[in-house]
Amino acid sequence: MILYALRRLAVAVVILLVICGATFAIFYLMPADPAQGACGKACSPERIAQIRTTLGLNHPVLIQFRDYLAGIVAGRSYGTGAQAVTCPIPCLGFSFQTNEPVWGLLTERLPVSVSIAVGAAALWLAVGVTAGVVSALRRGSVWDRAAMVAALGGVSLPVYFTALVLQYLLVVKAGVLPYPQAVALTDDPVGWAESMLMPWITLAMLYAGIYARITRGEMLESLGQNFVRTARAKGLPERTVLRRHALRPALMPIVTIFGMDLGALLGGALITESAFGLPGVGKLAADAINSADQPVILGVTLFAAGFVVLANVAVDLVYAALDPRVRAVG
Amino acid sequence: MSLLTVRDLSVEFPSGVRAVDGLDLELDAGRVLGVVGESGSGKSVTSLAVMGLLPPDTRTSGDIRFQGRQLTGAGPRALRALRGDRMAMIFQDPLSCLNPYYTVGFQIAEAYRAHRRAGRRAARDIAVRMLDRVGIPEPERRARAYPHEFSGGMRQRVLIAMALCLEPDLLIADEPTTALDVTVQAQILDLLRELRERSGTAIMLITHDMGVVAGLADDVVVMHGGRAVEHGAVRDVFYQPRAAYTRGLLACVPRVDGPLPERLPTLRTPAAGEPPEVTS
Amino acid sequence: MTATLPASVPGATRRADRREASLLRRLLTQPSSALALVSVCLLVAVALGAPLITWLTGTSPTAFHSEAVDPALGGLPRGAAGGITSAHWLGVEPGSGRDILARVAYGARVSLLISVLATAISVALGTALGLAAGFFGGWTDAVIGRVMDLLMSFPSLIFMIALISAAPGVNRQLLLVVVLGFFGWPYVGRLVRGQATVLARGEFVAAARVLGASRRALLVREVLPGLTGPVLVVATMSIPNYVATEAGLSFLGIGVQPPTPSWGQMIAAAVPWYAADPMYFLIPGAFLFITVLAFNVLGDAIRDALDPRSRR
Repeated sequence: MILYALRRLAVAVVILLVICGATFAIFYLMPADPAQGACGKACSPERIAQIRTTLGLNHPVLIQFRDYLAGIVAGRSYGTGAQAVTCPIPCLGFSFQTNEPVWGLLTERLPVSVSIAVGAAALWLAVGVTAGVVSALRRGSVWDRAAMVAALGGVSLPVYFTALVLQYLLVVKAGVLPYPQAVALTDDPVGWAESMLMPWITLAMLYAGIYARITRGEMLESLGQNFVRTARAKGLPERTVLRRHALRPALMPIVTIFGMDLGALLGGALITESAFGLPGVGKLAADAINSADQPVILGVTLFAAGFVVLANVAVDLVYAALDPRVRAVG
Repeated sequence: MSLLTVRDLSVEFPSGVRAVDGLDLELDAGRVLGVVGESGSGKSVTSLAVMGLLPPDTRTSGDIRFQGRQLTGAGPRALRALRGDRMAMIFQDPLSCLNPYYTVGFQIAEAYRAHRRAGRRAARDIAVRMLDRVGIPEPERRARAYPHEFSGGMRQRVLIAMALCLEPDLLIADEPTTALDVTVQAQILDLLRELRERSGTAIMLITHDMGVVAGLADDVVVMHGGRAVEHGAVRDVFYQPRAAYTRGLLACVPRVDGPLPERLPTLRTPAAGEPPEVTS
Repeated sequence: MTATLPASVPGATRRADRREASLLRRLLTQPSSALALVSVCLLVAVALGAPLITWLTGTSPTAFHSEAVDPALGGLPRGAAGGITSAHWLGVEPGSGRDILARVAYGARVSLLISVLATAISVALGTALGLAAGFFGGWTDAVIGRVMDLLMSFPSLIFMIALISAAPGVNRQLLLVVVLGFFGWPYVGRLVRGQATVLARGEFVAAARVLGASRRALLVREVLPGLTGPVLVVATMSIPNYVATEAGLSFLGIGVQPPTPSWGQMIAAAVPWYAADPMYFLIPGAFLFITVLAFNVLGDAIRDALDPRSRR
């Protein structure tokens, strides 16, 4: 089991390195000049040359990549002498726009993204899995059909559209909710929940649809398993049969998908945060893209990729812990 | 007194297929009844009907009496109380019949606890004892193992242990040896024979294999097209088969003691109601 | 003596024709899939007929109509429901007064073109590489399998954004097609690989091989026909995905660039106006939702029609 975990972590590190390399290659081989970006519109050639030296852009690409990686692990400093700027571990460079360290920007905005992701995940998991199970148990009924139509509708809703509709109905027309803002949970729990409610619903509508469809399919599959028949033959109460013998295996694939989805959202719900104007990691990415702030884009990409890859590892480990057959192989 | 009586049983699926069509059969306490027939003859559906395990959208008519109690039309609660306690069942493919996520010890204990008040520990001890009884070595350790860690024959032993942990009066064994290797088949049949002699549990043995019936059963019902075409003591049916279909089935069994035929005869599936032809 | 061999190709074609005919019939007998099919056809008609629509209404997606907006109200459309009049059937944009119907119709063109082309790329790449992996096995399979795993564990949306934003000056629509198609092929590839592995080890392929068929002939005649069904399903399912992703990228400002209209971009432009003029985001949003929904319903229906086991 420990060996398995180590092996999975090693694979994760390799994937992260590949992503890092690919992202780096995109930015530093593309026509846009980072020095120009760092300096802004009106800029003298001398100033650009100076920035090139400071950022290390005169070195070959591989050396730059090595420095970038070294910066993440060991920190780095830009420039020399009195003008040197140190960038602490993990160094992802400085924003061209605000000159703040990228890592600081990311961690500062993480709580908003986590609030959105975790709340939405709890909501869609509860709604989606419940709807899927009930649909499977009452296959072909009116409820089943209605739920599946609703699920397909939810899957087809673009989040920014849902976001605008909700905001129009709940804030502008009904006035029951305030405009969403970044409120810390610790400062004002009620304000936090009020601000987060619409992003939660928006994301949950999409994901609950997906989860309801998957849960229903998996549940039908496991209800047809021979061991469910065995459980009934043993004379177990129907509730126990369903919960222990049908639902448990049906939830296994959900664990995988849930981990991946949550991992992807923790690294920033790009569109949702932009649509509600909430300053999370995703909004940071969107703003950086619009202002061509390359160190921030690179940093967010890696940060988000890190969450996805870590979620991958976590899912594999959880799966191994839950499934004795995988555990034996590992 | 007869333990199980089936009278005029018919089972129809929503697709319109009538899997069982006016079946009669009888099983006395402590006896072994072989139910034979080719696939699709309705033998498995009959066993599921007795257990009350058919899907809710099937239409069942006729009488099933178990220990004098009427099972057709009985509520799910009453059926559940009997299932696993007074009547138990084992199935063809032992791997898919065990839940891969729980240890075999848990799955046996679960069957016991479904019907008797017992703590986890007590039920687990019973599971270990059952594993020992069905011939699984190191039962204490193996109770903590998962189904995929057992061989096919051992899994079937686990299922038998699970079925017998409450000493039921009736055990329905649906093709208990079909998915197993030949040598393992013999071991499982020996085990069933031994358990039956020791506990006196009646067995309804469902199989397509005349050899299995000959080795274990006292009586036999030959099923074809959802009906019983022949019913009687094994000796009588095997040596003086009355129905043409039974003769056909018997002719298909390869024999070690007879002359070697050029090729084995095959049953040509006849039109409904007609006796099959045997070609060789 | 080719004449004595079973004429497998014409036979297969006839079989395929029959299957298509019955697929279409099945889609039309179910109300939901029939409605979806009609919606998709209508959308395609709107996209293809966009010039005709603008000719009929006498406008264009880029023409400004200052007379349709009221500068006294900060540029809100004159009239009810976002300025719906006989001249502007779906109203006009606040501020500029551009015709929404014209922009939505041309937006449909962009949306469908990008997603269909991206689907074509991912299906072509996925089929070719998936076939190679499943059919040849061994090394080829290992390498292609690893690449697919890697691409699927990429945070693709953010990566697409990074890729697109780092390439200024490149034709955006072309870039979108290439990027969407490139990140989509592993999903097709995985499916094709699985099917090809099963088919390549199937008995009828073994039989053909015994009869002396060449590898190429095997691939073309025996393996490919078995793949059309699953590939058709995955292609239909990937179109709504690409429509939504393109609109999402355009919403973020890195998809289709103005003045070319796109639904996502229109919704983004509507954000500052949504409280005063909800029609501006409701109309492109509704088109987007219906398109994605119709393709999703259609994909489900085709899957159910081709694989009765999945109909539950």
